[in-house]
Amino acid sequence: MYAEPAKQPGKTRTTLGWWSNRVGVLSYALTPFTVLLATRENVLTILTGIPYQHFNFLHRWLGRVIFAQAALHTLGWTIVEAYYYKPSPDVYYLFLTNMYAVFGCLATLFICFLTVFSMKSVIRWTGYEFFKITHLIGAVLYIGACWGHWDKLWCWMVASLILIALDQGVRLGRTIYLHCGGSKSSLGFRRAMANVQMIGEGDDVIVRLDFDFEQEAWEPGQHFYLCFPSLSIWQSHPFTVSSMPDLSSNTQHHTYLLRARKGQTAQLAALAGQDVQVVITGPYGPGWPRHTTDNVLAVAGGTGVTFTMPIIIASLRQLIVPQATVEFVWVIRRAQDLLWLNKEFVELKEMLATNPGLRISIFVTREDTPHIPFCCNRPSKQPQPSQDPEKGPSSSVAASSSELSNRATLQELLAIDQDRFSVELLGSHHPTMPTVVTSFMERANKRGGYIQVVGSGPDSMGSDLRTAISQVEEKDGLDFYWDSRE
Amino acid sequence: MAHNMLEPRHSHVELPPGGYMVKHWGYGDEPLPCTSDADTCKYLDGVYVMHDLSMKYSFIMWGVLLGIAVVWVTLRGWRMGGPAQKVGGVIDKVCDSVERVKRKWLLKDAPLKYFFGRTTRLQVAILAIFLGYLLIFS
Repeated sequence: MYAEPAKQPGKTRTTLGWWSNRVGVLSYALTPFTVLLATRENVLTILTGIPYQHFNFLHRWLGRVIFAQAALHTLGWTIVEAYYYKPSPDVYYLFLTNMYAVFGCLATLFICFLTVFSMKSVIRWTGYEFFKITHLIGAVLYIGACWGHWDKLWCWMVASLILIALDQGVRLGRTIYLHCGGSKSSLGFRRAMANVQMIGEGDDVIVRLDFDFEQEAWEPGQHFYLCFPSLSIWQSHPFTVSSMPDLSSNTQHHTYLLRARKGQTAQLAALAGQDVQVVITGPYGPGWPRHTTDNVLAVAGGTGVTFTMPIIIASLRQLIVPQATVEFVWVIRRAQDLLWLNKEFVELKEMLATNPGLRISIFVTREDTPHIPFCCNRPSKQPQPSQDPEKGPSSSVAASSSELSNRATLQELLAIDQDRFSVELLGSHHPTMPTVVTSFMERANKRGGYIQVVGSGPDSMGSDLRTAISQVEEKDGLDFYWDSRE
Repeated sequence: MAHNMLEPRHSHVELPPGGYMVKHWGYGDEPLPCTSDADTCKYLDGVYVMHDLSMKYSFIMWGVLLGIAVVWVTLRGWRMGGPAQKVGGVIDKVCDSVERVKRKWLLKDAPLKYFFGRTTRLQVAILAIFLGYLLIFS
């Protein structure tokens, strides 16, 4: 950097301003790309096939990069105007009266806000809803302030605003299409009323949502964004559908499993036994199984089963060779968790008979012996007929007698009545992913063919599974996908 | 408004007699020939040269991004062509080995979990490439 006194008295010319402008220009050019990475209706996803969630990491970090660039640009010009240009601070004050300087300061403030209020710890404090609304408004204001600051580079800002508008517009359009359009039988808004069930007890409670909705079929493994207008119109969260889409029907059945935590899921749990209105948008995400179905390993932890269950069932239905190695691994806290999807699980167990390559492994991580709970479902007046002497007559279970007849009891679910079905009660530890993967790979490699590994569950499990997959040897190709629930 | 915004820094935007304006994308017009003293002219010239270079760099960045997208889409189209094309083929072999390298080295968790959060090495590697690129061009 050179600095020399200019002929005008008190004005030192430096290259600091030049460099500050370089950083500013690059941050402008980076803005539309950063916005693009954050969109849900993602052009990059359409082009590259990479799920939109995977761009989130780069979006966050490029946002921070823009913040750093804005800070350096602001600092650079502050030093030039307040230090190098004399008389100080008169020159600086005069400079600050320019419109572009005012807009520059505003833009810096907005990017500071966006950066601070998108930090995980701050979101935990302000709440997700606050983040979602203010992040969008803040981004638009920031882009607007940038436009005001240097309108000669408006092209990057227009591009950014168009991307935001398109993303929001397409989301809204898809929601309206799902709920109002595409129906032959009825015009106008079609409501989706989800039946809310609470399953489990103690620290292991989930909410199960069920509803029928007139729409086209999605692909197994895809997710929808669910909004509960009676709870909040400002929140919608992604949930993977665990029910199978029906290609031959124009009405689809949706099933979702949500772990009851704080916030909206807790509000939903309080509605157990009632119906709640749902507004859905979707489907999003890649569908499975990909290509021709051959060997499939599906690993799920807890409610991650909503991702793997339909994929395994679809894979088994599509199998070209019934001998293909297909393994369904489900890691659950307690044996009672099998009741989340009891009907589906019974169906899957029945498929063991027709598919010699299918294996089902259940790992229970918090029990040495299966605890058969009194209550597994939403309260009802009818007590469940029980074969278990441990169960008291006061057990309040099950929705209705018709549902009851469809449901296998937990003992039936746990019964080791098939060769390739296993339940391991691990007490207080987790199954080791390398062991799970190695045993599958041994069998799959013996048979040969393309391998697909899919998984979903807690992030720590994702890490273990990724590490295990990075060490496998295969010869016919392997496709791995972890459906993150972050 | 835009023109006025520049004035404090370039107090002589009025066209000198017999002079002409040179257009600069993303910046104010440059009046030439320069009528100020030699130092000021040198400084102003530097401002415009530097700005044009900045614009070039930002277009190169987008060029690279679009280039990657085009290559990606082409390869994807090629690979989705079906199993008939999957036999042999240099491109397929290269793609397969890239996949294997990616799985072996980049699928694992990235270090510095407290800093990056739980993510793959691939994500952090892409970020590092991006940061390196920006640092070089800054």
